[in-house]
Amino acid sequence: MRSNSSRNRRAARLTIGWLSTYRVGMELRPPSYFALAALIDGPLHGYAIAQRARELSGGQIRVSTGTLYALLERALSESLVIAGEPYVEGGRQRRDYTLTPAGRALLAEEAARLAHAARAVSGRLSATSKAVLT
Amino acid sequence: MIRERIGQAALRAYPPAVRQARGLEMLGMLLDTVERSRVALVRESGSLVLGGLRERRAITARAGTRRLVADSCCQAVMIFLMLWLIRGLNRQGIAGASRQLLVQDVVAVAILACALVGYERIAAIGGLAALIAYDPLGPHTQLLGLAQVLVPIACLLVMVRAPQRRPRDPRQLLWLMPVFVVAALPADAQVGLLPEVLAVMSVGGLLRLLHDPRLAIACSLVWITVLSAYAGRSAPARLGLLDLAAVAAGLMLTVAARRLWIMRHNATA
Repeated sequence: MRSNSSRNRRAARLTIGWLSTYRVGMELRPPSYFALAALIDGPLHGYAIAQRARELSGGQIRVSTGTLYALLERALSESLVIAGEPYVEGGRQRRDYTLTPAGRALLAEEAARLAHAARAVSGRLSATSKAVLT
Repeated sequence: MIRERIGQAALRAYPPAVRQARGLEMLGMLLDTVERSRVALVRESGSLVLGGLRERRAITARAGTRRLVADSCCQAVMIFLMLWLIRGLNRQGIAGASRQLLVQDVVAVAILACALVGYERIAAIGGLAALIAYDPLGPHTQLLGLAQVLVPIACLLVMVRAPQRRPRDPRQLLWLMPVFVVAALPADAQVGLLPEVLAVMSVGGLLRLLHDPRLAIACSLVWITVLSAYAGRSAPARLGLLDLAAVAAGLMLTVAARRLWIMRHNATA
């Protein structure tokens, strides 16, 4: 029970908003969700995370530099990701970020929640559409 | 090259510590993202500015309400000192140099310099001593005069008790330059340039209100004193302006206090 509530709090802190950043009991917002999901396959640097998040969301989510680093900063403070040492690649300074077990657990929980929500709504829609057609 | 400069300028919205830790990395990502598009450059730079302001707001909110109110009082003292110096130098320009005014101005410069560099406790004690030594807390103090200095005294006491937590930085002395420039401008004999200077500072406070209400609160505190000191003495044409300023100051204080409450609420939720 306690770990659920702390996970909720963690999730809430990852929701990046202009006026209400912190709210307990809220889900991960899509940019946070896809940015963290980008790290499932392995460590990536900032630009690669943004690219991967865009791919995963089918081009629907575009994580800007400011949003991504705000999100990474919070994820780091909540130990959902860890940052590697900085290095230079192609004249640009980079740093790879890796998803931690706590980050994976949070993502799994969120994915299950979204899947459950999608199943519930799809089930009702198909049931009612049959009724409407008949 | 231009893109890099724009990116670096946008990064200045972030607090120095964050800029030092992640600035180059963020700049690298921004340059990768905007390689082929000017629209992307505008969008990404805007996102960096917003991100930086958000970061500053989070840092401010973490400080806690008491600290923020104390900081506001300390900033109000700085503004009081600046206005005191401007007023003194203005008087010298209008009435001609006098030995007594010169001594007061030297004292004001010394106290302000201490406060700017970061020796705030020393500056606050100096300010209190100066208030006692000079008008209106001298031997002939009247009740009205005392009422006008209540806010400065309260702010000075807060500054003695809880000075701002910031590193000592001699570069802050550069703030003396605009003070001397403004003091050299021609001014009204009664009110001087104080409402105008304070209005400019208040605009700065309002612009920072979203991420930091301290300057707005500080300006409101100074407005209260300036208005109570000058409203009764100014020419009728100027009274309308001062009334307007009084309403604006009250509004600003309300909004700043509300903002402070929201930030505190968000930090603890």
